[in-house]
Amino acid sequence: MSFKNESPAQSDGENIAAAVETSERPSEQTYASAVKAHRRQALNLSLAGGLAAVLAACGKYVARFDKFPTNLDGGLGKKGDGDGEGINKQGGGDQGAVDPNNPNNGDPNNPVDPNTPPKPGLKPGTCLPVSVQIVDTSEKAGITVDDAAVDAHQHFFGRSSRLLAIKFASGKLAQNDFVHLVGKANAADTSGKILATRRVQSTDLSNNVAKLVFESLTLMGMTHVDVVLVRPNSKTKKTLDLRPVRDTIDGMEVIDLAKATLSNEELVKVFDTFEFGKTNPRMGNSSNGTSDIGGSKVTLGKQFQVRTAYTAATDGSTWNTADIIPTNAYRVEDIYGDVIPASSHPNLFAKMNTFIVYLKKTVGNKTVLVRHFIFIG
Amino acid sequence: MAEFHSEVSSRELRMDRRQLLKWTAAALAVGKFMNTEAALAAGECTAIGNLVDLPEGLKDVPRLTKDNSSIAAKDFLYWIDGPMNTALSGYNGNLGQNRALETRARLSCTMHVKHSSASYIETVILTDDNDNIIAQQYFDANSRLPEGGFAPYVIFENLALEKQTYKVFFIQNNGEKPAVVFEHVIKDAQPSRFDYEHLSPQARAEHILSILTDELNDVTPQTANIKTSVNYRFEKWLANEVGATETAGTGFVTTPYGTWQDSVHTARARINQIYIDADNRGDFEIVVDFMHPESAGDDAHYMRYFLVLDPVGRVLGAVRRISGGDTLSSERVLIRKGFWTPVKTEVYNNLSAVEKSYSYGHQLNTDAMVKGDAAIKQGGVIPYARMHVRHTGTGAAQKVDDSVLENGFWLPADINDAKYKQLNQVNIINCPHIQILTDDKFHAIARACVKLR
Repeated sequence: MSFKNESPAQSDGENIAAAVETSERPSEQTYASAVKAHRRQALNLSLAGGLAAVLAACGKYVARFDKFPTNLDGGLGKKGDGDGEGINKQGGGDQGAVDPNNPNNGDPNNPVDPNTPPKPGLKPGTCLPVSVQIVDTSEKAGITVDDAAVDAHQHFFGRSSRLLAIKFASGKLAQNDFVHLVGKANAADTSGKILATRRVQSTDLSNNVAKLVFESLTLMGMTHVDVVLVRPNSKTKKTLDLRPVRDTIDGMEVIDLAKATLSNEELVKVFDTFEFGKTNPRMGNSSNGTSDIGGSKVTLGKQFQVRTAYTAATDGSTWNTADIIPTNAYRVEDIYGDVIPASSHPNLFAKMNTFIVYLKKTVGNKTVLVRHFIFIG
Repeated sequence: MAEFHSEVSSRELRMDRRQLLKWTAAALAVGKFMNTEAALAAGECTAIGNLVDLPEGLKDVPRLTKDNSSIAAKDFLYWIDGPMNTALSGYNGNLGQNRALETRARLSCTMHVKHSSASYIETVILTDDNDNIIAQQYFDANSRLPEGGFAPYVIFENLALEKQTYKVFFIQNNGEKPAVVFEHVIKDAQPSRFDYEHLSPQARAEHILSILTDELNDVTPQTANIKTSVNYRFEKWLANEVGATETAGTGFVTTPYGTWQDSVHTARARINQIYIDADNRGDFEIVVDFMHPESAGDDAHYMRYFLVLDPVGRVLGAVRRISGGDTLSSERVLIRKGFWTPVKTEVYNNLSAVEKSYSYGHQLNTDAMVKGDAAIKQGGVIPYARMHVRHTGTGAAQKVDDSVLENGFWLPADINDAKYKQLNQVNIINCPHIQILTDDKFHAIARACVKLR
């Protein structure tokens, strides 16, 4: 059985270029119009606000009059209900509503508790932000540009979501600082949709460098993100352009393991290239009472091998690819794009969970790099 | 061994739209909405607060208007994995005192609800036990999985666990109707594992994994190296207790961070193909190696299960072997979507025509999948039947049997049975990553993980 790529819609979902150029990139004009419309709505709301306040005070629902124009909502799924375009643009019906088995879902006869007072800070008559909030990232909001904030980043597509890995410059973030991702339709925008937030954890920091992985991310139609760093005495941002896709390295096409841009026959060969886990990644030899880890020396790195039987380095300080794959046939990077040289990288697993292995594969008359993501844990 | 489980409780709450907005704004800044004039002057409505505001979290945000715990628990699925200090500590007491490694666990979760323009999960908030926000993600109505239209997986990386309590809030925007907040508290968060206790009540009813875990948990005491039962779990490795001195119930799921004793006990696999069929069924072919050869006729120690799971532990595909029920001894299996068992050719030959039509073959020398009666019966091809096909392992006449038999494995014969509901709702196409596991019934169940990007 061969890989089937018969559905144009589905293949669109797998085609990076198509996804970026179509569903993930609303035009600047469209976005600008939408923002204007939104602001007109907001202006109208200033008139409607009083009514809203009355309704709110009465414990009624606040009408959803702030719905953002939905044609911007590039997301994950099908274009099924007229709400916009996803990566997969094939048609389909409405994907369903509130669980019909839940008798209380959306029950208008079961409104909110009128005894619960509105929380101070959200005053009646205030401008209600859109469902996915529009956030101001301009200098007016106290956010200054710091182009040196981000040392490196990589952005990856998946079938269902995105992954954005950001390596911040040394000293730019500390534990408990906040990072916000604000999606924008173009680099010059000074506002956008809030996409994700992360409070920096101790596990994100190593040698004063913060590395954050935003998984299961959806850009909701945006092409750029403002990475906003909130620290005790500063709010700064760095704008990242997420349109470029790293689809070549040294002139060779990059093929993701889970994607297909080759023909059916070629794809089989590509998929068959790689094995993962075929290692003996022991952290320690517990059977004889000794341990390879302990004290300050963490020697997990030695066990990382690509498609090879276990031939651990005896000094325990390096990883290796053993002898099956020649050294010019692979490339190992961390998820932030830093190349990890073979046999010279200590403590490989100490601060990293995900590695990317590029393996050269000659398919037909061209050589490609097959990209594999390996999660250790 | 309940102490090794995360305790999960769920509530369903209601709030009006003002509260919803309050919630979704909390990670930006509590109470930092601007008035209309200021918003217009600034061009926007919301400002990111200063750091002093942000840690306030959700503590004082009113939310409870109605509590419905049973409904809230129904659709919540989660899985925790990743390098754990608790595992590392097991190797050496020194590590516990001088930890050079930190926990970097990953929490994958989802609410199994469909997204529509009228109702969708808008915000997912991860907090600690004190409602301090750790991470937050936002979605819109179109943020749905490509196949099925369900809410996305939400994956939080690099979390420190160490018996912490986490709360995960899924906020469902229902437009003008009250928003629903699903609050899930994961107390004493631990890596997920294969046992019945880990599954939510609803998952036990509908989750096909519950069938497998029933059996996994029913491993009878062995006499060689393990004192008593092996209770498979991730990463739980008691200090200085290995081999013959291993404490009952301290079996573990090995990862690339740990193997059992000297021999290789890691999951090793190759992804041959992921299909995108015309019906988007999401079939795949994954070849999974044996962890080690097995001894002929040893019913207590042989390569038994080969599983492919989605990020939250739902079964995408499973192969279950019967000791002596096939001709494999030290090779590998070919997993597809669904539930399968390798059988001897004579078993395959005795299947009904209908059952044969479901079967496929694994050509060992090429690792290719073959279909069709003639191809499956070729030499060097291991036939695979649906998992409920009865084995005796002797080559005697076989048949499809939907009852529990001595050497059979019960699965509902009715494809519409609730047990299959979960299988029909998961799709590898939707998965940011997959988990691949294999067990030898005796020592360990091993796990590997591959991101699908």
